[in-house]
Amino acid sequence: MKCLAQPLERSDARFAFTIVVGLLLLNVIIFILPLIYAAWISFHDRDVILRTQEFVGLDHYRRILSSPEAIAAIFRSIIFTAVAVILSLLIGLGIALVLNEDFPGRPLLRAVILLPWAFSEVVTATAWIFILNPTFGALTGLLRPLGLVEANHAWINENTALYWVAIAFVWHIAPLGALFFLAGLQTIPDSLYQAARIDRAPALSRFFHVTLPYLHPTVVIVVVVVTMEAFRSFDLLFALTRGGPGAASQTFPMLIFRYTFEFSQYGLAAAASYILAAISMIITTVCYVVLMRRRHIARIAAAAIDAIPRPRAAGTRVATQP
Amino acid sequence: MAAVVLQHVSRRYRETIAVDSLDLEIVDKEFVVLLGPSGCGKTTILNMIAGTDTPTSGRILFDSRSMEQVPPEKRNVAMVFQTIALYPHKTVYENIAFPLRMARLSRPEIDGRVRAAARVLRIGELLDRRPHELSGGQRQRVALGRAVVRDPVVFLFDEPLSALDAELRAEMRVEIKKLHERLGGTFIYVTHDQVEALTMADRIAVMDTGKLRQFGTPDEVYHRPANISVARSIGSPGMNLIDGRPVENAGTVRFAGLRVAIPFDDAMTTAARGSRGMLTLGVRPEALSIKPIGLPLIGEGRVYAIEPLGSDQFVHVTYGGTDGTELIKVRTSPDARFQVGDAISLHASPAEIYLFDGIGDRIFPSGLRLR
Repeated sequence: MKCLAQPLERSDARFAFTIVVGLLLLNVIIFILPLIYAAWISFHDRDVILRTQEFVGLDHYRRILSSPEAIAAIFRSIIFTAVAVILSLLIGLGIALVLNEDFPGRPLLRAVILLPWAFSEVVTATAWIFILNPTFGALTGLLRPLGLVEANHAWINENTALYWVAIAFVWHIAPLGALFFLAGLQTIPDSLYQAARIDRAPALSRFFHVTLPYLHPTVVIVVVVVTMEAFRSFDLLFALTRGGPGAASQTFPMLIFRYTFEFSQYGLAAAASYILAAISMIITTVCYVVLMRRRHIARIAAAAIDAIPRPRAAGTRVATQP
Repeated sequence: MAAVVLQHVSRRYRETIAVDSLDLEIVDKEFVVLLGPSGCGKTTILNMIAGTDTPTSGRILFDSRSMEQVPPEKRNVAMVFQTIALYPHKTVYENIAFPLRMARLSRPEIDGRVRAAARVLRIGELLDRRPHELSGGQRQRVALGRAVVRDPVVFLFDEPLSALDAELRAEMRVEIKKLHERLGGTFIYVTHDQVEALTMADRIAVMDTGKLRQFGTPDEVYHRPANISVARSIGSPGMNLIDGRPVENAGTVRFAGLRVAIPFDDAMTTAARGSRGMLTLGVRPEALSIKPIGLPLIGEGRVYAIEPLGSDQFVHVTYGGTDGTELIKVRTSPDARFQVGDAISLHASPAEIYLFDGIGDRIFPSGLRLR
């Protein structure tokens, strides 16, 4: 066997160089060049019928950031993302905690739980169209016999559309969060739970003192991933509401779609795409920095839980000096 | 502090029996070591006492109070784990304070106790660090701190020193023994290291394959092993064990080239017959001598190998028949000079010879059986 510390053979070095350069080239072609081209488009006003093109500088950016329609769309995107992130965290963690317990049929349930994430967003949207249909939808069908809603209840309306698409998105993305959380949960050594029980920590304290601190990095990952996924989500919205009714669920990516394919405003669409990417990056960076710095968030939560009054356990002896 | 009693405690996992009908009475304030090889069920016993594992049958009593329905968080035991199991996200201070916070003591009281424990364990300057910033020995001290900071019914130790290097282990052995003297608590300590058992224990429970083989003081298990299993697990290097066949009429037993003249009483004769005449002779390396001084165990052999250890020296001797294939270890003074191949004669006094019957129980010297 050759020692690993030996310098690379010349042929190895050449091979490594070829791979790296090849990948770099591929990245430039499929990733960097289109980006540069998009930036170039965003600085130009192009008329596809007259086939004219005019340099307008930052004009498109200015127009978007001063347009009430675009600002409203950005705002909707932020709400959509916030709902998606918060619900995915809670539901993903809940699912993971259940799946981390030992019970018969767990492998099957793990697979089933992951299914919604494996579905394409269009399929998810179709499923939710059937769930939310006012006449024959599953939700109406379930709640009408209980007398909670009348027939033909319009679930998706001006006020609720954005939240329903967010919920449908959570249905799709939460299993991914659950997968991350499950992986995180399995890194927690059993002996810590044993130690916590012996230290007389009740179940809730064990969760806040052992489980949550361990899951902290996972929370950061889930927040970052779901934020990015939600902020740029398009297929689901398009298939479920097309941004409607009116503009009630018209998020920023929906608006970019309309700029491009309805109004043929390519320059505007390219500029908006850059703004979308920038906002998405700012939000994830802020989330990341805040969550990584605030390592004591979990500790504050734990302290709050401990402050809840609880009777002293029977047989607890309070003791003399060690 | 409490007396801990195990009555017919068994623990089965599907096919395997981890603990087999164990009876153990641990006196209040006693330091008991459960000694045995890995997989002998000693950690399972500890977990059952702590309440994180449940006996399949049998009862565990703390001061004659049954622990059957009592969950671990209500048993008030303290435990030091093999994996140390400090909370990685908490500082040393928070780790030690955790059981007190859970017991809802007041802040000043917690502070006083944490600092007192830190002083005793000499970790006062580490209180603001996190476990990953500590050395192995420091972590072990913190784990001890978390255990001693409260006043538990019983202290449980699950091989706490196995992750440490030899020097640190020796140091911590003394610390733990001092801690026992200072706290005066009931200590139950699991280890596979006989040195830890012999140096620290008031009494040693020698375990093997889920069964208790002997429960006695270090002196008893060393000088009066109840059976081959105990004889094997105590002493370093282990006792020489040689199979042989007694020649009853002469009152002499022959073991492949060794002659042992021991007066056989009736019980021994019966035991020897019961095991189809096969007995096992046990003699510790330190009980054998090479000088010819006419003692009842006599054998001739040749020096096979010499292991000088500085403080003493172990001589491996081949003996038995003409081919000389059996090996026996002898401890000699480091000054004794031998050459490989030297012809020597072996001797041991009757007080240091053991005979075990076919199932491994000691039949000579008689008396002082299990417990």
